[in-house]
Amino acid sequence: MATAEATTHDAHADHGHDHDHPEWLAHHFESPEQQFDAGKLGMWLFLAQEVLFFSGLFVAYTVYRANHPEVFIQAHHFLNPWLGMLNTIVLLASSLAIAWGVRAAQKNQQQTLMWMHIFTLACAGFFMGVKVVEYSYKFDEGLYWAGWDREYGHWNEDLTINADGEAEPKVHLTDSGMHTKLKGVMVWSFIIGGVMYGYGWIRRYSAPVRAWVFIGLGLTVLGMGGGVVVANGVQQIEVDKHAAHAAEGHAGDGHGDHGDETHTPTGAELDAAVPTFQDDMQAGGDHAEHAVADERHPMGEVQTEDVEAAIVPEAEAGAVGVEETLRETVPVSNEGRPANAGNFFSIYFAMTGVHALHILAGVAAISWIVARIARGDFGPERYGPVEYTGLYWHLVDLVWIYLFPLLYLIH
Amino acid sequence: MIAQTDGANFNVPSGTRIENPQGPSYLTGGGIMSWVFTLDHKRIGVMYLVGVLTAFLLGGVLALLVRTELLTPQVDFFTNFVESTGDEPNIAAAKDAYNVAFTLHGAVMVFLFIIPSIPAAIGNFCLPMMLGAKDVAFPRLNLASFHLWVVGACFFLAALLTTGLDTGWTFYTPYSTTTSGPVIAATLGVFILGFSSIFTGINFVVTVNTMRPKGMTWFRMPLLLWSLYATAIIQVLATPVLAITVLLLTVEKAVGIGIFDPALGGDPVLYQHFFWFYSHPAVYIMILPAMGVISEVIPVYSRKHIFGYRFIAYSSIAIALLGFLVWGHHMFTSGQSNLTTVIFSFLTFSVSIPSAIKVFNWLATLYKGNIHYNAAMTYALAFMFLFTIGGLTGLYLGSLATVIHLHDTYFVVSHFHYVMMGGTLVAFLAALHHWWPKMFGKMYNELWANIAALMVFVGFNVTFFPQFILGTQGMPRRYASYKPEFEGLHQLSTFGSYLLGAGLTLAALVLVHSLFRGRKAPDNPWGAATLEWKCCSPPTHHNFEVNPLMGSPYVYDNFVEDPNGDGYYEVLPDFKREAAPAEQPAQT
Amino acid sequence: MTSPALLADWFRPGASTTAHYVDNLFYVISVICVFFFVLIIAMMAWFMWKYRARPGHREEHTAHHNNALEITWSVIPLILAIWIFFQGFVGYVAMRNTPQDAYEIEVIAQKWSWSFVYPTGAISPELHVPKDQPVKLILSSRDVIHSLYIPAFRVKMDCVPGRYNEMWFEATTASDEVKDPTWDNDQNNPELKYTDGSATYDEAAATEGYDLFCTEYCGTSHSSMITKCIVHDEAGFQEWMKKAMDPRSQGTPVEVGKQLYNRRGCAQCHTIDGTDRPGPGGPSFKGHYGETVTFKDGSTGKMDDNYIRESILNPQAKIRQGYNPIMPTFQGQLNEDEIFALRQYIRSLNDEEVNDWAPKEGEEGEEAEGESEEASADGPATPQEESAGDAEDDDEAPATAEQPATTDEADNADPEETESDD
Repeated sequence: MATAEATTHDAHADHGHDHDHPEWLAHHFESPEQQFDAGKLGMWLFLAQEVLFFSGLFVAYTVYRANHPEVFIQAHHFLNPWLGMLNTIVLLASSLAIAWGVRAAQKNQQQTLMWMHIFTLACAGFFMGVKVVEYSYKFDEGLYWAGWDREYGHWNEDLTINADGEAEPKVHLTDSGMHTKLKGVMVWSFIIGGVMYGYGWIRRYSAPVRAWVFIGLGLTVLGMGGGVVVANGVQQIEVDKHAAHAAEGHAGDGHGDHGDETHTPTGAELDAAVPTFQDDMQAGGDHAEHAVADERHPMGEVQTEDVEAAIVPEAEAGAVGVEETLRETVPVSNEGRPANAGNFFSIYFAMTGVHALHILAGVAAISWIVARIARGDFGPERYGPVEYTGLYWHLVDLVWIYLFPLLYLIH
Repeated sequence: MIAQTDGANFNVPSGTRIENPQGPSYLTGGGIMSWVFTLDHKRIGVMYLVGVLTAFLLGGVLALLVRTELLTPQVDFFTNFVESTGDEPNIAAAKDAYNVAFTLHGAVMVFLFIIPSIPAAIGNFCLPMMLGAKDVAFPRLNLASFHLWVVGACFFLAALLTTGLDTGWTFYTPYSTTTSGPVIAATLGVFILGFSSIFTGINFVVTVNTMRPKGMTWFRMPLLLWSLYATAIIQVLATPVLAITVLLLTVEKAVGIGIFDPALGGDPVLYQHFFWFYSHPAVYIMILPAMGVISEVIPVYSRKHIFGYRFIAYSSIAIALLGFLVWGHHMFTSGQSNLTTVIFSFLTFSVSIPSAIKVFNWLATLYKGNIHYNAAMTYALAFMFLFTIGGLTGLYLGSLATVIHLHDTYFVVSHFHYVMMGGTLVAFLAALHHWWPKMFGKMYNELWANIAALMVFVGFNVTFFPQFILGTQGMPRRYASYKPEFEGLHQLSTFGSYLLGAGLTLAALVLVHSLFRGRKAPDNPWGAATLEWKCCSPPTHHNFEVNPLMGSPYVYDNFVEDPNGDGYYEVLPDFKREAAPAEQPAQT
Repeated sequence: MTSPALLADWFRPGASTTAHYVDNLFYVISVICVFFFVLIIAMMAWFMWKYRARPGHREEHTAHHNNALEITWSVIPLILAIWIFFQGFVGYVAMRNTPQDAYEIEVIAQKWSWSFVYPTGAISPELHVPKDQPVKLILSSRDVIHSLYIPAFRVKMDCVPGRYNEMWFEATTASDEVKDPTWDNDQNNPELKYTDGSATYDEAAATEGYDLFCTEYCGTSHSSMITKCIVHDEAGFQEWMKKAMDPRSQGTPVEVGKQLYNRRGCAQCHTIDGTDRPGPGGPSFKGHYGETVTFKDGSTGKMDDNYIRESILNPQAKIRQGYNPIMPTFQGQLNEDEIFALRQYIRSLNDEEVNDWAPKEGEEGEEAEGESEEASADGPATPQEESAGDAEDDDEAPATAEQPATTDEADNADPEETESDD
């Protein structure tokens, strides 16, 4: 069946600039509505894939937590829920702002539109500042992911068995000259490409537009500084509180403590409450060694429950530094009690890290919107990109809303 | 009297010949940069085509190397590629070289060839034109997708040049995190290619959803669009899981985060779940577009309306959705719980039904047709043959009792080659031959193209059918050397692969020859009724100078063969007759 | 085209009690597949011929759809698919439900070899199982994922690091009863030497047996990670087990010690070339024998046979300075003969005197003295030198009556005395 279709199209070579179309309407769209709908559907699909992207992490979290429930409960004490809450509030505020910005665009309130986006940028900066403080405290305390070797301060050189049955260090990417060069080329091409791209992009805009972008990014940096200052303050309160608490004596305090610098829970405290995956494996007798990750306590102290080892002063044991990922190669005593808080921090860094990358991507997207607001692109007829970016920002916010209780408020 | 395809012109009597408006070809004009940064979906499609064919050449050469090694039970061929230790050939290094070869063959074929072949190359070219649109919804995203594909391919090339990627294309942990190969380059490549795929998927979904012209309802879309739409849904929803998986794997490899590492408290089976949650639907990313191509090709060359349009369309969507529920069948021996295994087995069987429906419908389309044996049709019929075998052998692998024996043997290798290569590659070749005149405006030599198609068909069966027997006898996959009792069948398979390689080479020569010596293609050489044939060949930059007349994509009555042998031309339909309900077949 | 008779050539005969579930279903599915394949292809070929384009032939319009037909060809395959699923389910349940009285064998897979640990403590690189008795395998891996596959039994299961999987089977045919040459190609085609000769199993000891493959890709020598499953009748199994439990029957102490060093994981931490691996590794077997070493608590001790023995059985007792307490205990995993063999191996590496097997109780023989003299006269024998005529030596006189004089005064740990220690 044929449908005869009347159309007003002419066959001019110069499509996309038909006189009855706004200039910003792409040539292949029939109407602004179609363009807006296409953009919005595209954004929703993008968000759908983002949700599935994060859902992979959430599933990993679930499996990990199911495998090591006690580790999670124990280890989350090392996170400062006040900092998490601070970030939650900041993100919620930014989400509100960006939604307000969309509304402003629809009502053609250019000033509100601009400042709402810049406020969002500042909030993102603040969020990142808090994250920086949190991460640096974790690193100071030696709370790395499972595979980090704090004692030696370099990457694990796991042993592996070569074809001749001899143990040799596991080869890492950096071990081959070709790989090193390749990695260098890749990293630098990304950096140079990114800088050139950013420069080329900003050059396209006029001076006032550039000024607005610099204001936006400047406030982001300021927000970050603010985040660092505030987060340090909050963290210091905790530290002081627990220093005092520790001074009162915590000999009988076996519940694992909060992440402070003066006192970190000993391995005994942690382990006493943490029957681990490895314990289960030890039930398997002589197969234990292939499951036992390491003997390392997250604080870097040796922990064994061996009678003899208990005589060894803790400091000395720490100095000896039993830290090696044993993988398949190095047997471990059945008495060795690996304290695997690293399991929690693996997933913690993975989830918050990926989320932080999304925040950074959001900063880039919003500063692009700021430039276009300054150029006067948006108004009641056209606010598609503003809305799309807002949708993205809401998703990033939403992910954090889930991350916060899952990581900080475990019970 | 010549009628323009301006539908408003009702005064022209029916039966009048319709001329497609002509214009400058999209292939001409502009330098190299106008190609690299083009926003034209056709040029992007052509660049994708060049890219995937290059990848296919690479993967194909690696496949032949692998088959040559398997000519004898010993590791001998690959010793030629490694330094020997003194007088003795270095067997261990040769085995590593073999492992690298099959890994790269798999990874290149899956990630660089099969997944983008039909959706990105053929789909990009055809989809907007089939919709009567000027472009996809997001041309810039489309270009970005191609650029990402190139970057991802470069990572793979880096992995190839540094050699040593020996993980298998599945990157199973903890092998991949402990091996010394350039796993990071490959996984980052996969990550980037994943986003290329996601962007294409988003583009296609949005284009089909929002840019269908008035009159093209969902059930008047060509079936290729249905299958590309279903594919795009999978691309958008499954690929991000792969992305996070390879990202975690990369981080694991680089800094030892340990999510999948049992030595660090992680779970290697979790990796398999993640990986197959993408990679099983990815199988449908590969085969669904192929099914769409066959649904287009068979009616055109049979001159018959497709049979069971709605069932084929629904079955595409059903396959896409069910495809998300069956990933566990790759892990029947991994030690997942028995209940999980049984559920996944049951769901696996559910996928077989929509596939069977399609085959039966294609068969019914042939019934009482007028079957033209053009090369595209030969490939399509070969597809039906091979896909039937591939699909039926899936029954052995879905059934729990038999799969325990057959899992990870050559039976599986043969099964997925019958589906992926006998299915997707052959359909890709059908598509290439079908749309070649439209893409490049040149006709190829039908006779030689058909000879090539027959060589591919015979070579394929000789290569892969013996592998079913090998697998049944217990030959495990991914073996560089094997027990002597398997030698005869392996040799047969290797000789078949040479014939297959020769057939593919011949097909490539025929097509390349046509570019230089081919006769100019008419606008509609096959008498197809979908909208892309209403542009000139090759199309202009904006496809349609005037909006095309919308008809049913499977009614060929209005297409009359040109007496000069210059393809088909369209005549204005009899509107009174056509006003009858769409589903009523017009009787001649 | 295909009948079960022809398919029988494809399938080597099953040799387990559950193989028929696989084989029967395989045949039934084959019949269904062939039926549908022939149906589809015959129709296709018929249409291709009958409706080929030719002068004078024109297509006829037929109905564009037919719901009754569509439902028919959806429902019939659906019913068949559900039936096949159900049959597979039944077979799977039988193959997964381990009988209560199954004989348990631990399987340890690592790159690229198998270790089978029997309840008696014996360990072998080939799988030995009794006939007509359910055998349960508990699978684990020390490095990457492997998969254990015995085609003749139609069984397969992955060995995943960090967890245990289990599988079971009951062999119905002893491997020496198998007359089908395909089972045993190594023997029947001597000129077609298997692969590059790098098979991980002891080919001389296992020419008869069912193939056992690794089917999960595990790296360089994945294709060499194959061994044999040898099915004994009950008496034969007991006999083999007795032999496996008695290291003496396997060679000189040094040879057995070397074998243990390679098979039991010593090699992963301890070198034999004098290179120490402080920290997470271990001291070399070479170069420390008889040394005075410092322990973690500051005390010192001599590295003598007693210390070696203690380190094997209770490794945490005395940790040398600079090393970590990571060695697992081998208490219960090595018998006295094996510890003896390991000690002799270490001594041989340090160019110390090595002793031959002590006579078993009530086995004192006259030739013993002569043998031991010969051994001491030869001085420290390297394993290579000794390997030639060991089997006979053992049969004749596995005995050492006297300890050769050594400079090491602590080395008075007579094998008999050691045994009484335990």
